Amino acid sequence: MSSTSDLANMVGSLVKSGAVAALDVKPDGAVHLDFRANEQAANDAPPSASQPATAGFGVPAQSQANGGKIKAQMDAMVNAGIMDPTHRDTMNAVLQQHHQSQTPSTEHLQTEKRPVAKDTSGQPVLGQHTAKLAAANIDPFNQVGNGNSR
Amino acid sequence: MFDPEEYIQPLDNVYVVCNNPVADGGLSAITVNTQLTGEKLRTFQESIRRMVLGKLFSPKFAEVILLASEMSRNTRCA
Repeated sequence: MSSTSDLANMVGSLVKSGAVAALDVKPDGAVHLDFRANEQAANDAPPSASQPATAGFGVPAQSQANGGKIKAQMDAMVNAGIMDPTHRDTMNAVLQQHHQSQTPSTEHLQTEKRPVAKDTSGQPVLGQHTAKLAAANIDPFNQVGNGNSR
Repeated sequence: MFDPEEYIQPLDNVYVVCNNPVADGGLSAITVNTQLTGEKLRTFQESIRRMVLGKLFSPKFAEVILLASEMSRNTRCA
């Protein structure tokens, strides 16, 4: 399962549980979470002045859930009482998943190796310059010189 | 000329989205309650100002947020 669909599944279950009213992923990869009470709850909601001071947060495309400025901002808002701690926890979980879906996999880079040409006896084929140095009994990796080419 | 109103998007009768005018690596938007009054409003605004002093919010983003938090009061006085 791709990490992008993992994010979609996570969002779906969060919305279903009521933790998040909506999550919007912009074309540029920015993510906005909406924690406002849903319509059902809004009918019984307390007066608007008693509702939370903040009820949604947006993060840019290139962001990380752990560490960094966003975490510091959320911690400061929670400590000041203007952000719900559960909103911060939900944000961190979604951001972590979002970051994973944004980061390209490097698995193929670790397994790809440039094939080495070999001759009929199985020995690596040297490049022209390296072959000339070897023929002259010069170790190509331990040359001492004045920087001029031979 | 910077106009903080351009960065405010109404959502419903209570909340608006305050978009960050500065791409500073932090939050790009915050949904703010425009109906806060009295002590709650003062606490909220003081918290935002402290975050500017602590370099967590840019002054421009704070200006957008503070304007949004007073929108209902400005509407009542108008």
